[in-house]
Amino acid sequence: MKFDSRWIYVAVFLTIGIPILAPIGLPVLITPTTRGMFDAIQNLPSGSIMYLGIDFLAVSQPELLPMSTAVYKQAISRPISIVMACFSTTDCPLFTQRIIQQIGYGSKKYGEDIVFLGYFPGLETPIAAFAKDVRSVVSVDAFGTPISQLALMNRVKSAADFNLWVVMTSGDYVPYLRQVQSPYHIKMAFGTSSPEYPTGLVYYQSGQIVGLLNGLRGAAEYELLIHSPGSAAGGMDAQSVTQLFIIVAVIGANALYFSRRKKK
Amino acid sequence: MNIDATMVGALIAGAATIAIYSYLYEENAVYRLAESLLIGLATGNVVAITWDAVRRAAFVPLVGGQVIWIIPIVLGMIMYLYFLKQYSYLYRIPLAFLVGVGTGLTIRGSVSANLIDQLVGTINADFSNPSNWLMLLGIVASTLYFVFTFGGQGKTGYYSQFHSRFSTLGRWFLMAAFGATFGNVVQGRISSAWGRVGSLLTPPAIYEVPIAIAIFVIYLIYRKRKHT
Amino acid sequence: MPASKTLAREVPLIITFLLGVLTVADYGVQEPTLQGLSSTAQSWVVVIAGFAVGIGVINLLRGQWYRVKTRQKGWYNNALLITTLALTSVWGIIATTKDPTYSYVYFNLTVPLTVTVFGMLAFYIASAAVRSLRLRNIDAGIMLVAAALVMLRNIPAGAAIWSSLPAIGGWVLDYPNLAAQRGIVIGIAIGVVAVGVRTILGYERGYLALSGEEKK
Repeated sequence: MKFDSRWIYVAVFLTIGIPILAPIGLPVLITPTTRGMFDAIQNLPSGSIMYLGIDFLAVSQPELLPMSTAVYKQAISRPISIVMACFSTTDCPLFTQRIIQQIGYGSKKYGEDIVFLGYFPGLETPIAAFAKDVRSVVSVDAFGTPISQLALMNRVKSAADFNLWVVMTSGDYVPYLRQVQSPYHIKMAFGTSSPEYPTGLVYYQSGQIVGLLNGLRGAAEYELLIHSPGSAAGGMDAQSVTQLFIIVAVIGANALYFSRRKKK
Repeated sequence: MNIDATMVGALIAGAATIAIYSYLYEENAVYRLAESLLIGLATGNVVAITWDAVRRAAFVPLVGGQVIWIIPIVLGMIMYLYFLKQYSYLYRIPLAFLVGVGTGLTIRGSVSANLIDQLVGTINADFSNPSNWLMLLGIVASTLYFVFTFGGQGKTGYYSQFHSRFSTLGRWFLMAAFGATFGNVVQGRISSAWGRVGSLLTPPAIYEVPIAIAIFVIYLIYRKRKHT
Repeated sequence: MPASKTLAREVPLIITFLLGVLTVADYGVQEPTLQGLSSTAQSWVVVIAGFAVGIGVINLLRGQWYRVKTRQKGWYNNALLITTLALTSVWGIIATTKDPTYSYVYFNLTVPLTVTVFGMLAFYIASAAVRSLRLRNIDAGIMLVAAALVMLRNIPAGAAIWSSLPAIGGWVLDYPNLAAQRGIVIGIAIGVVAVGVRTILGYERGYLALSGEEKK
């Protein structure tokens, strides 16, 4: 087909932009994989310790920041302790700090109920080291406070001391499964970018993970579950219009292709 | 209208977005400038955060009296001998640490999480649901598709013929998976575009859009006149 | 064999073997000394991995500096890159990334630039889909139908068009997609184990980048 691709770019821009300016408000249904993560956090007994990794690349920010914000809001509203750290990306500390700055700690006290340990380079190796013996890689938290001065860290020696691991990742969930879930049989849930969701279902079906969020769709569902609609719920309108446009355009292009082939 | 840091930040972000999106028309100097800025900022951020991580992991305990941390620090520094031709072979020693530990972790983790747990998950599926029989067929067929050591298309013999047809079935399942992944990739990419387009269509960045369009039109007119 | 050749080839292979075996053995053998050694090795690798990042950065700077020094076309972009990299690194190290101005620049410049570059793929993927996705054979047909069903499952409009569409798309994700993905995961796991064992035993030496002389 010989036509200028830039007209398709204009069409995509319009299909994304118009629903932003004039929202449609189509309802978003909750999927079982999203419900799984929500229930896992909601059903944690009082006093549980949860690991929360807001560990995604900057490129995934439009999908994973709303998702992480919603999960963080739910986590700090629960009577549990939260340990946060980063293993995947150097963007993680800044996003974690941003969420903490914007939402705060709720009723939690830093050091007693919630800590942020910072970033550890190497992905799978620091995850394995942390899971085996937290103190082998962590001596101070992200703010330079020795962990001996953080009361919560006295309760955390290894991965076995956690009741749930929740990680928001652009797609690096396999190292966590290999080094934490499989050896220590810890309950795990992931929020991931859309392209990684179909592969993640493999681990959901096998029971290795209890919840999986599907990119912007998962973020929108989670915002509805915690009754705090945000940017993600609004973004689904743009998704609807743009994806429908692509489907219709591909069908039309195929129809044109076959009609031209028939004429020849 | 009060001009504050948030507004200025939104204007900067909007200008950066327009600079990158200008590539959709054609490659240009503004895009290349923005691209160089991005690589510099992103790489600088990686350096800063990684330095902080290494400082907290090794230098803080070293200063605190745990002398043993001098060993990984020295090993890390040996890596930079890579740039000295005479001693570059020494960088393989710390590299061997990375490869040895990393490979060991990956082997043990893959066997349990990616092999045994996957097989157990398949066996434990509820086979009163007919779809799970389809799933089992698909798993066997798509795994067999990647067996190239024996059998396969073009060869004769009952096993080769069976393998060939079963591989075709496996390929169909793989096509379904690629289609499903493509569908989700589309959602992911649209999300990225939506994030920035949304910011562009929100004040104050929205005021930059007509200015950018005007500059662009003026540039096109100037270029056309230059060529005629 | 000359000492340097021993250091160049044999020592790294021995280290890889010992640490590989130690790390694998640590998984099943609950012996305190072994566990302690493995834990120490893993924590050291975290530090070494951090230093390794610098190798890539220096390589990037060398390439960029060469283009500036030889005044190649667009050298000012390379100069901008070097300057921005140096400023951001030094500022982030001295003031730390918790500095409000540092995070202001990160969230208002670095993140928008990064996301926009990635966001361009939305336009390209739409264009590529319209221009080249054709129902040429069964394979392409299965892929297109699966893609369409999953896309309609993901968007709220799918349920609005037909209430069964989300369930159908979900079925595609949960059964045929899952089957093939699991086949891929299992296949990769077998490959990873095979290559990993070969690496630990010293048969795979590509990571050492040995010269012709060193291979002898």
